[in-house]
Amino acid sequence: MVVSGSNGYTIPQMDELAQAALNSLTTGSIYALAAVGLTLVYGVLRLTNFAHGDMLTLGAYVGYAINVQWNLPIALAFLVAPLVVGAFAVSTEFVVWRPLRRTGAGLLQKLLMAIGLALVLRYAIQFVWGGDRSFYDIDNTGTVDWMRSALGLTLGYYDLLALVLGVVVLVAVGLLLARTLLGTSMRALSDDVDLAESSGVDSNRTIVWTWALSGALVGIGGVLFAATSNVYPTLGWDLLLTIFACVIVGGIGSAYGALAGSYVIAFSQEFLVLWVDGSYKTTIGFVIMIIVLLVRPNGILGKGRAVN
Amino acid sequence: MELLAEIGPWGAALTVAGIYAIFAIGLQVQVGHGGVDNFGQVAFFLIGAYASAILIERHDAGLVVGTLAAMAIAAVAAVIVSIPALRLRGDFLAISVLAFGEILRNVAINERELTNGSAGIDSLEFRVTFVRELRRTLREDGIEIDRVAPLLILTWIIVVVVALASWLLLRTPWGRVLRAVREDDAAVRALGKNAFAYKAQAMAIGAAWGALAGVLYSWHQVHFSPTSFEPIVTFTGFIIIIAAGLGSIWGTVLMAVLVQGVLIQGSRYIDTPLTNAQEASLRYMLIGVALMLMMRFRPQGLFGSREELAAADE
Repeated sequence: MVVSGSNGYTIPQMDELAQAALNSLTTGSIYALAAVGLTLVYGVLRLTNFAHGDMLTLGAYVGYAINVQWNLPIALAFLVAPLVVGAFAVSTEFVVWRPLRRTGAGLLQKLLMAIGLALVLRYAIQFVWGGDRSFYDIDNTGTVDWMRSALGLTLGYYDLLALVLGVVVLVAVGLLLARTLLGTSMRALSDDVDLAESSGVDSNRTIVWTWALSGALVGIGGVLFAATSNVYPTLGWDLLLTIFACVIVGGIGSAYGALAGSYVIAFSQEFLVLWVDGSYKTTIGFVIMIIVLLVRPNGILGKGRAVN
Repeated sequence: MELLAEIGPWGAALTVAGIYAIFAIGLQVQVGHGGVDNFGQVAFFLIGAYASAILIERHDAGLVVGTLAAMAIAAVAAVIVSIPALRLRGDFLAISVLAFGEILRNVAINERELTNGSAGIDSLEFRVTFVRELRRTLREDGIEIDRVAPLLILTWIIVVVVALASWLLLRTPWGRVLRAVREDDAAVRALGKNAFAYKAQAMAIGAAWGALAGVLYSWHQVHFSPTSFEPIVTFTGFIIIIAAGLGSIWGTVLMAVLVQGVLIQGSRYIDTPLTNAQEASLRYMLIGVALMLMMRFRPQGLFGSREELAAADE
């Protein structure tokens, strides 16, 4: 409920603030699934993958194919989408990125290659599935009853799923990074490639697994995004700059930073739209990113250098 | 003069190609010579189209004053953006200027009082008032010209002027210092030159050309909306300057005709069994594939040298 103050501004009520907090947890989890993969690839390869958003779209449409076109249970989408998008990401390593690295490509060359890949993927998706907005064949109007009766808050079942699945997957990634050989190799490569390789890290193998993980995470993110709202071909591209914002706010290259950045951006967006028009949501994310680049260019937890 | 009586669809395609040539020459100054990876050039294109349409249609600024004012606004905006952005390293600079363009597009969608939102805005003065007067006057002298001929001719006169001005400017000592900044800005700073100022000036000049292209685009379209200012416009410009070879001004003009005129506009007139939407998707996939193949096999472009590309990377 909104009450107009005497000065003309609307003053949000407690329940609105609580609802905004809840929404930002859900949104933040989806952002994080996308942001962690993007930041891992940057960390290991020093590559800003402009095709990452379109990989999210691919995940969302794999879910659409399973759920709507083949009429199979949605649960299957959560298993197949990460496999398909993970495989796609790995294939880009072999077809595009490894050959390009061998040519000693510079920054602009890598950025434009990623842009080209993003265009091909996005418009291949649009070619196959058309340009319209589509919805999964699921009932996402159902809400969690006790939340509504006890707290007066709206939490859709699929929002709850996004929140829980997001947290579970991200904790698993955290454990993978901290406890496994692969995680150690990834962290070693993102700190110092030469040192890591001379210490016996198999960099090509680690890079392939980084792509697989990055694709799988963003694939799940795509299905969750489509399940909680809808799916259209430019979905991921439209989200990409917001995901960059999450990554940069957290400090590029840092997985935990991306996690923190995702919730920071999601909270800022959900709270600020209580005052400014909702259509400015993405703009809020960009503005926060630009402010962070100005005052703390390495982000909350970053080690990478954003400044010359 | 019979040539100008019936121009048909290719006249429109060539007009758009000329508009892209001006847009891409701006990018060439910024990226090819200044070494600034401006992924947000479409922002200045947007400023040119909207600022001139608002000034000319609503405030009766006149075609010339409206155009010059739009270019000045874009140049000032470029300097303001440069202050934070030029401090950032390559990827971050590219992401922030891309975000700047998207912020402006969001503003154009949402600030309905100023821009009329997603419904779009008219830019009638040139096509309706000016061209109608011109054709009437010429008809009295017994000369018939096509409706699209005046803008086609005007655009290509401007292409030549912009290309010549940029080419001459880049041959001056200013141009040489700019390229020196691109290669090693520490060395240039050590010589007492303000490296930031040179890059910001390159941004401002490129932005003014981008805005001029935007003004012509608004006249070509007569009515336009925020969907015309998506980042793809910038990347089409990048394809043009990479194909031309970074640094090459005249190559940029030629590639703008090939890429925009033939590949993108011209391909609309080829009949295929696909739907229009599918053809549009294929066209964008083609742009993507062309960009990828160029990056992989010929990053120095068709006429450029590898050194220019490597230098622009620093």
